[in-house]
Amino acid sequence: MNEIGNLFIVIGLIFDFYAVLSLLRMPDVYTRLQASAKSVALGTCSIMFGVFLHNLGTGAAFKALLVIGFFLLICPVAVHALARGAHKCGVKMVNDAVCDRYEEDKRKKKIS
Amino acid sequence: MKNKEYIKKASWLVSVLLLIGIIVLMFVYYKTFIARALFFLLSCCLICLVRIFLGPSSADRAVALMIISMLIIGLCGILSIFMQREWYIDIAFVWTLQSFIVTLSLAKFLEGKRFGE
Repeated sequence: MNEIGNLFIVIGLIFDFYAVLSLLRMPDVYTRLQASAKSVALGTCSIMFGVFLHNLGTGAAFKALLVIGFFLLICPVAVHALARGAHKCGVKMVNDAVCDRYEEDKRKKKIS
Repeated sequence: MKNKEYIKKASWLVSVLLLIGIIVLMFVYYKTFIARALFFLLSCCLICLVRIFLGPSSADRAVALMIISMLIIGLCGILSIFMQREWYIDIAFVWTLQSFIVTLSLAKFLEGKRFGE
């Protein structure tokens, strides 16, 4: 089982490296947030699944599965809150941006 | 005044380069797979520090802080294999919930409101 766990850890490391690379290379706050948060979610879940396979049959394996569940619940909520806060803070998009639905809705319906 | 800022930036860069050198030395010294994965994740956290240093607005810094706190969860998982101790997974479990609260409070701070609302 340890070799399969090592394989999952390698997959997680590759996705984490892509997350950090997109944090450096993307031009804008919103694109940075999307690219890095999605790949870091898959990377961390894959690493914790590798840990689950490493100590299979003990209490620690159940805890690793619990970490995966809570992480999948928590990550999208945190990302959405950060994007909303950045938009309200007044951070501008990059010049090539096509549309901004939240701003249009604010103008039409006066959503706060 | 300008000279002082220049010295500050230069000292920061030198310290980061020293840390990267230490990590490369560890990478050569330890030859097991788990130790090398550990140091690879540590170097990823260091690259995130570069974005905290360079980021033009405060939202960039908040995003980089969130990514660091999510990398550390995986770091604790690998540490539990490397050290042969099970309680590092407990630390990862608590760190998940704590980083969620920190990120939510940072987002609330970015909106420009007070914390009580």
